[in-house]
Amino acid sequence: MNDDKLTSRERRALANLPREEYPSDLLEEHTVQALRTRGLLGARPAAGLVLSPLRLALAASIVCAMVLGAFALGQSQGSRQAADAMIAMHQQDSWQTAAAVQQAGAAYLTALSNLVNESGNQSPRQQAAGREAALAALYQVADRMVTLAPDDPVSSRILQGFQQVSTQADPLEAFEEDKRQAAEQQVLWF
Amino acid sequence: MKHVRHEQHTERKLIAAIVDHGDESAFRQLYRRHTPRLLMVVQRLLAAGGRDAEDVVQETWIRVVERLEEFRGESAFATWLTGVGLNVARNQLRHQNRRHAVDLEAVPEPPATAQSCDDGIDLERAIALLPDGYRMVLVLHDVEGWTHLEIADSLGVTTGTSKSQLFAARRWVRSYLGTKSEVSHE
Repeated sequence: MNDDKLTSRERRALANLPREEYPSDLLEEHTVQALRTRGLLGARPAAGLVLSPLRLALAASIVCAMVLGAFALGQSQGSRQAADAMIAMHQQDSWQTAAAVQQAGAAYLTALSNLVNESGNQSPRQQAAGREAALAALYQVADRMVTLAPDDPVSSRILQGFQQVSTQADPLEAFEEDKRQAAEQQVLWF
Repeated sequence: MKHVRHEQHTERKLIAAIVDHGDESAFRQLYRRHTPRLLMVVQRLLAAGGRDAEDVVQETWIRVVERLEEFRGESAFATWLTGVGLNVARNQLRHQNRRHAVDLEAVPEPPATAQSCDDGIDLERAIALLPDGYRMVLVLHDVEGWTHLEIADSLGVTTGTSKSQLFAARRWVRSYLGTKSEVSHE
């Protein structure tokens, strides 16, 4: 047996040895910092929620799908609203244009009726001017109508009539000719 | 006894908080409770204070927190902590290339007798001057109260080696102190 016995004095001396030594505050801070650096202290994922590569990939996929889905939904709703707004705007424009054409047509007919009704009180020159203005307006209307509806037979025939007249004689020149002939007749009369 | 049970319960809660949440506050409580004693033991094992001992204490805590999940509470936390500290201290001694770092079988000659009037200081100095292998066994057994079985397990030697080293260490210290008074029962 190699173990021996301690004397009472030795036992007292051993028992009286200090058991604690207080370290510097720096040691605690260095130790905590070292543990933080190793990820052993501070924010640590809770047990059961460990982010494995598979879970990270799955989470990333879900986030991407949600972002893309939200983007597509927003784009779809945005384009639908834009299309509705465009259609409404076009419809409103068409209605306004149709109303304007209707008003202009009514005004044209009113003016032409007035011209016809008062033709007895007007000079031949005034009548010719009114007739010329009415023809010019009729030509413009027929021309626009052909552009709007190329197959419209009425408009096409009106334009064809204007073309035939223009090939035969200029209306103003014909008016001037009529006027000259009437003067000659008057001269001959007197 | 009731106080000890309460302490152990609190300690288990602190350990759980560190393991589950990396709770820094819990760690600081555990650190402040055990570090003064750990530092004292490390200083005796190394026969050195200051930076060397503090480096060992820091490394000990890092290893302990890394392996805290493995702590089952079968022994006292302080004992487990000191065991980890002992291993870190032995590595430190190896790195210092000390002549008798962990050579537990070496039996050096006792030094000349000390001339001092303070038993405590003399004993502390004698322990510090012991060869490393002797010092470890004497500190763990006579100062910290470990059994030969615990020492043998921690140092990786047989209980017989632990006992023979303790015998040699005491003889060495007595020779240094130059005293051998009445024998008491262990």
